[in-house]
Amino acid sequence: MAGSPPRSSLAVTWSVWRALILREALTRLFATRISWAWVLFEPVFHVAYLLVLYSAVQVRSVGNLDTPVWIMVGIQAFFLFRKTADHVAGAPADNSALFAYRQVKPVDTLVARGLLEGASWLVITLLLIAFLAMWGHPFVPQFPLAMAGASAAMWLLGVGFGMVVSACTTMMRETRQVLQIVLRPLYMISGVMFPIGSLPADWRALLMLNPLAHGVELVRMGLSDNYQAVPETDAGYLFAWVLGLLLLGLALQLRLAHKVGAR
Amino acid sequence: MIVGRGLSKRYMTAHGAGPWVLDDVNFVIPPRVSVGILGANGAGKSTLLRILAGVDKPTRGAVERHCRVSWPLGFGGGLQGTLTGRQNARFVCRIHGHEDDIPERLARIAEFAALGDRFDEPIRTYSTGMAARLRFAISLAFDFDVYISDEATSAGDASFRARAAEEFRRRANQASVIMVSHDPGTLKRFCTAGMLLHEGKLTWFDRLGEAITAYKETLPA
Repeated sequence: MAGSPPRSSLAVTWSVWRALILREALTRLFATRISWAWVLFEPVFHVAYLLVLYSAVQVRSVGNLDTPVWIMVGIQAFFLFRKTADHVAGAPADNSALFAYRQVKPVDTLVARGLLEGASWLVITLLLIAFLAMWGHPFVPQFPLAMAGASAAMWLLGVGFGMVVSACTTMMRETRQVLQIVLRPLYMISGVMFPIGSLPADWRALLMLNPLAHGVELVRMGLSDNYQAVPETDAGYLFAWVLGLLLLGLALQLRLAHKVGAR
Repeated sequence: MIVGRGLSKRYMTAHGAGPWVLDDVNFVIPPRVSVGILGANGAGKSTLLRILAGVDKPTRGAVERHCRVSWPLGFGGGLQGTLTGRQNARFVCRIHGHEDDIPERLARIAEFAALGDRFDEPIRTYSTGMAARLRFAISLAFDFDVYISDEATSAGDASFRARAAEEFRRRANQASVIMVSHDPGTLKRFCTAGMLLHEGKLTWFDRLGEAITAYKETLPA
């Protein structure tokens, strides 16, 4: 009320994040009568479809892992990055109407989107695990914490990348479209569908420049210590990319904050 | 009290930096003084309002707000079409940190906006006037010390305008307005002081009447 002291910056930011997340979840889940089903089952069907298709083609096991489990874990690790990056990059443009309130800064919309995307990924992954179990392919990771850590790295990589892209979009409006063309093939070369480990060493060295390939392999390594991962897999390399992109993204957002919000 | 120190603003255009819209503007708006901002089209009135409300940054200089200042009322943004009036109102309550008394505030907003059952319909089904009424009602649910208004009181039909004016008068002891309007009558009803923007410079007038006279002199005859 009129007499109360001003809130601290942290309190303002916290309530803005909370409000943005609740608002966005509401918009996505209840925009139409069946949106909530769409949000959950569209990605589940997409992945399940790829799973069944590729499991039929591939051999029974890849690097000592059950093929469907190997593919599911890889796809989900990759999608965690791609969907987070995609949604985070579009957050300021989609929420520009809210910058009429000075409490809401562009970076808040990025954080809220990132958190929401991570949460929905978790729900979708749990549904896929249930699907695998019903299909007779139990998902029993030997090192769940290592898996969670590698997944968190993929998520942060997505947040950082999305931040950089959204800042670049303010300088060059076409950035997102160009990136979508450039990034589409990443799906093929990140070791999601075929094992990079089966390629000759000089090809491996080239493909393993891509931090996503490291993330995908690291998540799979959490499944079992019998798994024969790509020998070049390096957690340090992935974390260096995560740190670099996050710092660059935050710095760009800070520098271009007033432009990111402008319509 | 709101203090503006050395405010300058120019926008980036496709051909590099544009002309200075505000050029080293200084002012002190004392507490509980309602101010009308005058100036020709494109003189920078809305730019100044946006900077006062903190949703745009001055190229140089700074604004100090020693009171609770509203967001700029009357601008189109701030509502999401797919959400209902109630959901939008709840969002604004949340970002202003009023998590605990949302039901009471929602009741106040619903009463003042007088939208009836439409309050629970998506905003995109609203008419322009209804959306404007909702925006205005939401802003009244927070006891701001200063309301920033860009033609906001011209929203809605005659009966709503009368209620809005009445509400502002009732609050005259605690709250003030900083407003832009092209209608001198509206300004006279709410404001006592005036600010004139002309060629990037700002002049302060303790009496609105003097500001209106000076404004008319700046217009080509």
